[in-house]
Amino acid sequence: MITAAALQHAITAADWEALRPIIWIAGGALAVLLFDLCLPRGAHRISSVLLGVTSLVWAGGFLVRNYHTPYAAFGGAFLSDGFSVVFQGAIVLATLLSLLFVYTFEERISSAGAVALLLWAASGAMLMTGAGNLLILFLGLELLSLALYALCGMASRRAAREAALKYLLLSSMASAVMLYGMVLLFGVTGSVNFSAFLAPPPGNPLYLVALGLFYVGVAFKLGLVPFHIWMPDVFEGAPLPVTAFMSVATKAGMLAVLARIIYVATPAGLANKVLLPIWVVAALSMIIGNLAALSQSNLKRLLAYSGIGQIGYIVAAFAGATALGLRYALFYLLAYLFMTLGAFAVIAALSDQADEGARLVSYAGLAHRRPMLAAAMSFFLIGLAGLPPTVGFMGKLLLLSSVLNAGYISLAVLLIVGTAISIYAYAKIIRVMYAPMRHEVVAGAMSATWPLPWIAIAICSVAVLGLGLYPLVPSAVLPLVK
Amino acid sequence: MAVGELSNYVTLSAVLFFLGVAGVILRRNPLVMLMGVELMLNASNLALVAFSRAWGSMVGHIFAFLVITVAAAEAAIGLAIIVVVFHRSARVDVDDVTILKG
Amino acid sequence: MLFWFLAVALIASAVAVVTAAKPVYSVIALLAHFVTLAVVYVSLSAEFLAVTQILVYSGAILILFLFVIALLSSGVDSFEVGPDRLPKLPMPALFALVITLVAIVFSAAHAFAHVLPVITPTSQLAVGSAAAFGSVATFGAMLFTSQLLPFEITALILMVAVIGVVVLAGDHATLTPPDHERLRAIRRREREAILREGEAS
Repeated sequence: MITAAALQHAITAADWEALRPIIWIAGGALAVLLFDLCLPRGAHRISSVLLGVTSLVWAGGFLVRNYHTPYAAFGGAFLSDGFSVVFQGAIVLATLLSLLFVYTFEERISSAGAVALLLWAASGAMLMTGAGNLLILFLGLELLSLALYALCGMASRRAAREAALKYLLLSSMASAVMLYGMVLLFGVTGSVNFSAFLAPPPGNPLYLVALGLFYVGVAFKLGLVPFHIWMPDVFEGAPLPVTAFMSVATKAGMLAVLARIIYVATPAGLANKVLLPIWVVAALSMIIGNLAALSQSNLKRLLAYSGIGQIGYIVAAFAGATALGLRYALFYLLAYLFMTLGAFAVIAALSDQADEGARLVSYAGLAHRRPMLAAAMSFFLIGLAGLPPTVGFMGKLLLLSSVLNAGYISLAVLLIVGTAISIYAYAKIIRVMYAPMRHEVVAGAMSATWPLPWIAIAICSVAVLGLGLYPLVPSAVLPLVK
Repeated sequence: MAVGELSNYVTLSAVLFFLGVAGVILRRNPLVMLMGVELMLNASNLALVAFSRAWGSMVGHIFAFLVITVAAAEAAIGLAIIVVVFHRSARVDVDDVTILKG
Repeated sequence: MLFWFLAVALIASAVAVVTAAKPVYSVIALLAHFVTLAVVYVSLSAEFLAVTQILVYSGAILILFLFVIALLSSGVDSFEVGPDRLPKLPMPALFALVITLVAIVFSAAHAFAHVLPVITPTSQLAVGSAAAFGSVATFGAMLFTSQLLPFEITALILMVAVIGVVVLAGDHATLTPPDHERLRAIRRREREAILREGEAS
């Protein structure tokens, strides 16, 4: 059975070209580990960060080139289309910004190991964005998840390790549920390619069962509302760079999978049945995520809940399955990336290694001690709340228009309600920071640190303001069907 | 060799999958929970092999092979985390994990 | 007939994994489960997978489980199993539950039976030749041509496992509890500061 069909898949240079950004990032991780062996101990952190950033920037350059040359590599196994390139770009950016917080790892943690695992996790997420069949999707997902399990456990605080254990057990169960859905999809259609799911055997209830299991896995990994319970715990327990990475890069990978299933692999006849659960989950996430954010006293937990709401907004734009919705969702993903990572950068600038910069008490009267940081934090929170002149306002306006355009008036109303609730949650923090301070509030934190988070703060501020005034909505993003 | 109907295999794999889910949800011992995940992965593999045979397509075999690889990696990382969390304490029990209550 | 025998063995061993009183019994039951599964693979002409199943699962993963059980129970008094949420059911009740589960899923699957493909009889497959369905030759040819990309990605996954484990468990000397004294002092100072804030306003 070594047939001509098998040999047709002769692999050419163009196939590797499509994968080049991922290869650079995965190879960069190896370089980080190698240099760690050669260099003296004092240079470990800086060399890891520099090498990581270099490989990410290099990969970004290849992404820009790939944006205009869509190609289905490896016989359609990996699709390097405008859609996946934009998602990959978001993942590269998010990883780059997260790398700038690496010094918040404890001293004893091997920073090279952490950076290498972050880079591999990023390449897993990037594989997911371009996955054209279930095999690549599953492997990308597991590459991402396995690296994250290890990264979450990289702290000597017991809480962090327990969070890692919880995350491991729950997330691997979710992966297995999703895998069973994939297996049933293969069983029903006889193919592992997404394009084959467009024409399932008519009237087959097993197809809906399979999609249901698949969506449960997706919703768990995205932290959408009935499956969100793990998120605050894991976000609080994990080291700061890992939390920052998980809040954007992981979500971007899974959002790409969700979008590809909705836009490429949903048969026209089943669209109503498939889109209804997405509608419900998006609505629940927007409301419950923002409601729960109201009562948090730890900024990492608060950003976890706010992230649930923000991902809910993006999924709401997918629920209409319109081309406009996809473009605006991608724009909002970029907006969310800069706003959230900006907020994490402020936390990083305030953190010492005991990771105390995330508790709300440490922010009381921050405006009087560190006015620049307080101003930056307020700016990012205003953006997350969706107020002008930030990109959050512009993004939410576009999302709202696409939801209305798809004819989901009730969903649009819920989006506005969710936004209103979230304004309260964010305003609370701003009030704490600007409250008059009569006594010196103590915290072990607030020590002078590396300038790296300041670079992240600067990049994010410029992006949040700039994209808010000149929204650059990506245009060529419709997924390639192969 | 006589091979039965496909639905029998699918049934069997679904039952095994549910038993794996029960192991993860009902037990509190992280080792047994991890074994429950292994049961779930194996149930998926059984279905994959049966479907593969039915369609006469060996992609399912490749998929099952990849799942086995991933399961090995997952077991390695999972066991490492369990060792790191519980090495100092005698009891292995998720209910002892009290610092982070959801 | 062979199928029903194997099915009963698989379900029984899976139940044993879930209900065993000690993790080490679970591992033994899991071993039986994996070996039986390998027999099922052979009966479905997935010979290479059957071998992999025995080598990787029984040979590597289960041994890893046994090592960890040994590691965690050495140096401490006994290896206790904490309170489970698993209700203590008498054996007949458990038996009845499993039978019910099987019946439900079985009837559901038979409702789907007409939409499933029919299994190709063995006689229509090129059994015995080197290029047979499920043989190592076919499997290898596919893995290195049409499915090359997934195979390459597994290299990364194994790398992540190796580096992840080294980073997680490599540095045992510093597995010290956090500095409780210092944390407590910081918390106390904070509490006082908040109280002062409250009095002042």
